[in-house]
Amino acid sequence: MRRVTPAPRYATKSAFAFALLCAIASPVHAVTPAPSSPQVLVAYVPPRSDRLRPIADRVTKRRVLEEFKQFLAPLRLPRTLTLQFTECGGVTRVNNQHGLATICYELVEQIERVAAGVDPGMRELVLTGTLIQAVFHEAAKAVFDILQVPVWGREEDAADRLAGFLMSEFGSDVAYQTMIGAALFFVTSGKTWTGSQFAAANSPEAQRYYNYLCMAYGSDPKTFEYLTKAADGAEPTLPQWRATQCSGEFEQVRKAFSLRIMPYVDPELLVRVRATPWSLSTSVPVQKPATSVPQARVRPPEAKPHQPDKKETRDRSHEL
Amino acid sequence: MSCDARTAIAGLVLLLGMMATPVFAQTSDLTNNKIGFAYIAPKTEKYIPIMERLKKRRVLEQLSEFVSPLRLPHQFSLVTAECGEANAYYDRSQWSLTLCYELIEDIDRIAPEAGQTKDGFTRDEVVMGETIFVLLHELGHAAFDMLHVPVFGREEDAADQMAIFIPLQFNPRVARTVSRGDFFFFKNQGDPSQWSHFADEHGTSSQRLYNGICWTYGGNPQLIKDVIDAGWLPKERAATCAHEYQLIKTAFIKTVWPFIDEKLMKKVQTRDWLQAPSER
Repeated sequence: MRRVTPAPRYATKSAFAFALLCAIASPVHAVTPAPSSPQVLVAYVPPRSDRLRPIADRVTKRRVLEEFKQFLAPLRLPRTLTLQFTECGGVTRVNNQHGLATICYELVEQIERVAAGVDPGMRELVLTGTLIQAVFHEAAKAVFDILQVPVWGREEDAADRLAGFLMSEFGSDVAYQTMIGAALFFVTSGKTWTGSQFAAANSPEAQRYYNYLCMAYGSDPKTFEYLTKAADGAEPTLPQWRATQCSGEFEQVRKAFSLRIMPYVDPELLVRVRATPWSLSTSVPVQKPATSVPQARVRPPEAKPHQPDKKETRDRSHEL
Repeated sequence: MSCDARTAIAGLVLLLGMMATPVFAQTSDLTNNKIGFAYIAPKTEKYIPIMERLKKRRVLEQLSEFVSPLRLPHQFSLVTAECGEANAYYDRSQWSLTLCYELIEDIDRIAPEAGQTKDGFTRDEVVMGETIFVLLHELGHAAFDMLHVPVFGREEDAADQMAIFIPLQFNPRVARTVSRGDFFFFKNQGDPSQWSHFADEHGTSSQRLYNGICWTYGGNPQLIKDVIDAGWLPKERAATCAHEYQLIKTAFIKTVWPFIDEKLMKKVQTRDWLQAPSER
């Protein structure tokens, strides 16, 4: 069993944070009005497809983007960043326009489908964690673009790493819900990668799973120590050889953030936002999560020599 | 690599770093007094010919000349050594780059036989191209560390970007050799067979293969036209390669270029690095 959620001791302590439905993230006991940034706009574009309408209604009613926007309040951007939900024709949209962070209704549909297949106690964790992660991921890419941030490494991974860093900034509950929730989504998504699928600019779920676990552990080795502990002689969820790299990986992103993005952050507002006791509000009975998740259904690709993309070579006789 | 081997190499590198002048005097016009190098004698006899070949080819002399335009904040050591495994690595505690004899042995084994071609690849281009790729990849790690370069993405991919991007700034023969050497090497490697293998901080060999093709194509669509025409770059990825190359270029200009001596760099760019020193 691959244990992604912690042992019961931790689970009991923060169980309140797992169940959530209405709002994805909202400040608890707001004494002063929640901060917001005038440069961040939100939009819910009505979908053309009937099947996506209920999803669009749900995210609109939940005010997902309005609440997420508060995380970005300390950002001082030279131009507008628009967060939008829209129908894309796929789970992600390539070639976004400048200043636009797009989350596709199709991705929400996929998240809901995967979440429906997990243990009921984990369902909300997967739903909410993955959705917040997706918004952070797209917002990270838009911020790279708006601030002309130099991005070494693949952009999609860089967006995951920046998203992971930002999600760790709001306390261990938010870090847990987002990064572990997303990791659970990746491990249960069941997608198999083979051959030329590895040509994709984004990374396989298995890599994203370990990258988020590594960022979580790197950000807070105490809270996420359980990821490195083997149960019953099994391999730890996060292999030791990767775990030893994680504080370095997290530190690398923190330094990059300090140098390239921090100059665009209002430090006073950042303190206020970080001091806010964020919680994912709930309208469903609190359920204690299981301590383990079903074995991943993801089949690893078989080791075999690479072949060129058949679709591309159908009518060609030229060989290397 | 075994602890003993790494400790022994680290000790020698430390000694190298403490020396006021490099082990071998640099006689060319491309010098940088912060860079030292050494060919460390292997314990295993079979690696002696490999060391001798690298020496004859002046691999470390050439690498130190190639890197000479970098304004380094401190000493930087280039080393060839027996490591106990087929690898190359940058050691941030020693500011040293080590190329292992075992890796050269590995590349020799994977490359086509001398005088023969495999899938249109010659032995020379594979051995030379992949060796340069590995050295530039490790040089990328070294630059990220020594110059405090902000790295948002996965560093292993970033080091691959460096190894593909840099040759593209030279004559097309250099870039083509490195890109094809890298292509041949990763084409002949397998992918992960277990879920936990994806925990590796490196991409899979096929991801690295497609990345190399994509970034080369993004920088110069004609350079490896034969590979593209053979269908090795799916349309969906090809559509993003120019953008990906532009991101690398912007990152290089913003984070590494300020540390480069432009006059020396021009000299580096005009030299034919693939020509054997004796032919120069």
